[in-house]
Amino acid sequence: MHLHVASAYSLRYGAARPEALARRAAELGLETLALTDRDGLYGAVRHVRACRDAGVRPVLGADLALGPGPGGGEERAVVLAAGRAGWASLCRLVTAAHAGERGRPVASRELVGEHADGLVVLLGPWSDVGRAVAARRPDLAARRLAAWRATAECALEIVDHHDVGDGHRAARMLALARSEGVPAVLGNAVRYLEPADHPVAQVLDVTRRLVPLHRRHLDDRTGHAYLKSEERMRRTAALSCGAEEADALVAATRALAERCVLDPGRDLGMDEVHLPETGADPYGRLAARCAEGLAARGLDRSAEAARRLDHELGIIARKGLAAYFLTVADAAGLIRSRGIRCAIRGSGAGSLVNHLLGISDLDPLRHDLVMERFLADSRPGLPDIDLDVESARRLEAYRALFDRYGADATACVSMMETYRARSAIRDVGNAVGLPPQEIDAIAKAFPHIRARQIRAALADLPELRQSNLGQGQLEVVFRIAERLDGLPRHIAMHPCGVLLSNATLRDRTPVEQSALGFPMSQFDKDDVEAMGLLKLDVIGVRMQSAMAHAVAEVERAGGGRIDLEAVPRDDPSTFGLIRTSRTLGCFQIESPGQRELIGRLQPRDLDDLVIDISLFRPGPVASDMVTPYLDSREGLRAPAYPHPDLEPVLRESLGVIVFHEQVLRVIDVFTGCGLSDAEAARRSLASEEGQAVVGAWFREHALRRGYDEASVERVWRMLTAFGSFGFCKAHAASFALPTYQSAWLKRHHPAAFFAGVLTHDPGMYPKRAILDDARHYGVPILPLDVNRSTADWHVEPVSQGGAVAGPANAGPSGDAGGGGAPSGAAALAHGIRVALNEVKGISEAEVGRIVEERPYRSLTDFWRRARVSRPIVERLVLAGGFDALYDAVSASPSGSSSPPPPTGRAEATR
Amino acid sequence: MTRVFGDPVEVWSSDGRPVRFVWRGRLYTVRRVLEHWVTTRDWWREQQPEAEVTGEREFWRVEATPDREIGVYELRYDAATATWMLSRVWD
Repeated sequence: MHLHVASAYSLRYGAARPEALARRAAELGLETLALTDRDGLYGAVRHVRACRDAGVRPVLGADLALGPGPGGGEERAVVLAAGRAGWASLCRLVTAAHAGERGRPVASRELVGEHADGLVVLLGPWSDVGRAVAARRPDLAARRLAAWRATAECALEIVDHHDVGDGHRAARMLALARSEGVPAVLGNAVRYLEPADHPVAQVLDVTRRLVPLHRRHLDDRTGHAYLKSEERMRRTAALSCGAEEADALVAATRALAERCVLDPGRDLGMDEVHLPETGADPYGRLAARCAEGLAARGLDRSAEAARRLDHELGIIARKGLAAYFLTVADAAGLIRSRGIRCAIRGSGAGSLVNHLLGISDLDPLRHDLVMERFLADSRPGLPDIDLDVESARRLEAYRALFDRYGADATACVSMMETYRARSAIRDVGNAVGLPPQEIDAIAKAFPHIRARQIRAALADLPELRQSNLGQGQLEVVFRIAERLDGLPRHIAMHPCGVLLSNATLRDRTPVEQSALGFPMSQFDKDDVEAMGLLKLDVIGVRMQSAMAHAVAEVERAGGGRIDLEAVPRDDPSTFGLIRTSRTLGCFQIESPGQRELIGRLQPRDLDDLVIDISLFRPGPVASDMVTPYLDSREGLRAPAYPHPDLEPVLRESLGVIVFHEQVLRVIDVFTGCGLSDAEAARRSLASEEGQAVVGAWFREHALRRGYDEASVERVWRMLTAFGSFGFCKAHAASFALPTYQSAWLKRHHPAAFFAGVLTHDPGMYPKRAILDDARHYGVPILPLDVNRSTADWHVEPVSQGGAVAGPANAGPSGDAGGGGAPSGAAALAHGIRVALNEVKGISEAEVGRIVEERPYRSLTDFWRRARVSRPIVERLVLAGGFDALYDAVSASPSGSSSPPPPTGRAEATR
Repeated sequence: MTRVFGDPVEVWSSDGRPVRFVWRGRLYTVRRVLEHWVTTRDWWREQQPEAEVTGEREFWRVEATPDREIGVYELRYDAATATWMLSRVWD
């Protein structure tokens, strides 16, 4: 029956999570529960799901700011959605309220009027009507009420928090409703679960206003904004309005709540998926495009491919996802057509359809990847395809998607930052008025932990135990800070999710501006999935940018256009380089631990890289699965299979379970359940209860198929041990491809490769280590030069290096390293030039002017024309940017071989 | 005129509302509740707050009478200590 409830998704206002509210409502025996968060629908989907779990029927609305009223003080009104039309109106109204200045949502009566279809407006004490009633101006209140009634369907909301005068105001509000013939309902403007939570709400009140705790700053002075039972609501109303009216009000409230109950399927559209328009017969077109793909990929004669395609298309047809695949293929094609590198990651690489549509460059048949890990009859919801794009051009990819599908049918996904220990201590400390320096010191004394662990950390961590922080007034700070644990703090754009839908998207999700100016849904990634919206993860990967830069540099330097995707994937010299484990800068295999593993594993082909990437995970390393595998691989011992029947499944990893895909197959072999059910069983392994259920099922079926008890037990132990840290082979394979590609570039175009790595900084090493590695591979590092350096690192033929005798410091070190160092003229022909961006503090505009006004004849010439700020010029001088101009002075052409320029540069540059 | 007291009183309630109270040895019968309000405590100003910051102060302004003469009395209930007090009197 509660119609006015704020959850913690009313940022810095509500103190209870939607799940807790729904559970409490069920305990109190309430049949309906509304969620009307302030200025947003951030918690709406969670509320609907929580209500379903708790057996309560959901109502949705929003408590909208209407701007300051004539007497000052912000006015607010609650809008409730009735039916499907109401939900669409509500989404669009919230979006419209956010259309102005970012972070300052404000609606108005006129705006509500524009979206009045299916909305019910509740006018409570915070509305202009309520203000007039409080001011004892019944005439004004009646006029304002009339204006609202001309705008939308209205009801007056009677709220009594037992503050001074609340009771009388409630009675006058009711009198107004009766005299004007407007329905009146009860509300409690709920902010938390129970009376004891009020200090949290009070801290949030002052935190929102950035003031210290004082009675006059509080919205909540009585501790009565909690979720009350119907009986308590009735008693409160009886006190101010009389027992008879109280019964009438409760009945009216229940009736309105009933009317506004939303059905998740019918009204919110949660029971179907809302894909972009793809035209008629998506399945037919998908099948046709797959057939084309078969021919294009040279698979049209493979019976295996045909069988696999049939199988996958069957699943897609049964799940009605043809339009989904067409859309993702379209999006990936669109990104690639802009010349942005784009690779698939994750389980999607296991699907032949993805390969044939050009979404994935990996052939799942060649790498023996199964589809079921990605899409199976047993997997609910939409499958998940993630695309890796160049990090530097990620937003460009976003814009391309927005242009293609239309701003109305596209939005980014949001995410909520939540309170953790430090942020909670800071906010509570400020509220109680501790000095800022003290707050800072206390907050920083805590590691990055959850807020609810604050007091446990005080007891457990020795450095905190000695600090005497757990004393006196701080005890209160910590206690309240703990109760902020996990509450949303502010909204941010999800780093990669993009919603692609059709013109009805704005009827299904409220949208606000992100900090970058993109339209952003108020729903997070779980919410949009529940709403049946297609979320494409477009992830910015620096290595893709580094490789794109390298390819562009090769072309610019006259080396022709490289198509990385078309490069043969079995180049022996590339694997030769990988085996030397000098893999700095290569994707995924550059960390010290990986290099050690690479050294022992000695990969010979792409499949070895897949295994290598999968083995280098905390789980397999910790449980020492690595050693038996390596021993078998080196022939020190024969591979041990838990059962002979499993040999075909585990042969690729020599008896060890490495991949999720192998889990599916092991379950399938022992139970004969098929891969789809095996995938369902694998997902259940994640939880303790799931393991018990699956365990019984597995034993029963395996024994019935005639396996002896000992083997069944052995295999089951293996499965459960693996359950915690398996790796998806398709994911590893989609990572292995950029790994190989980066190694290939390093082997064949080292200068361009290092230019890319230094420009986009994709890895874990400082640039000094990368530069060392470049020297090792015989790539001369050409010093900063105002006449030659560009914004980014670039490749330069060293013969044109002019004053700097590049080859002099390149030759000897090239031979000093291991056998992987490329030798020959190709490697010596190019050096890399230090980028202007490396100069500490230089601005984009300055870089632009320096490049624009070239060439310079002298420092004075540069000073006059490039107009670069004085400290930057000084740094340019110190870093040697003018050395080439004054070469005659420094005289020796071998100057570059004495302290190598980049080392000297290190102090002046970043 | 208003007089301010802080005398402990004994109060009988029914259905959550005070109906009778004893002040300075005389029994008062509540005729009518004029106003009722509550406030939370200023927990952030207390030096040694109790383990859980709960408890509110509940105020009842009532018309009550010891015999025939009617006066207005303000009763205060402190939830933390579970005590009643007569805080103000208008007569």
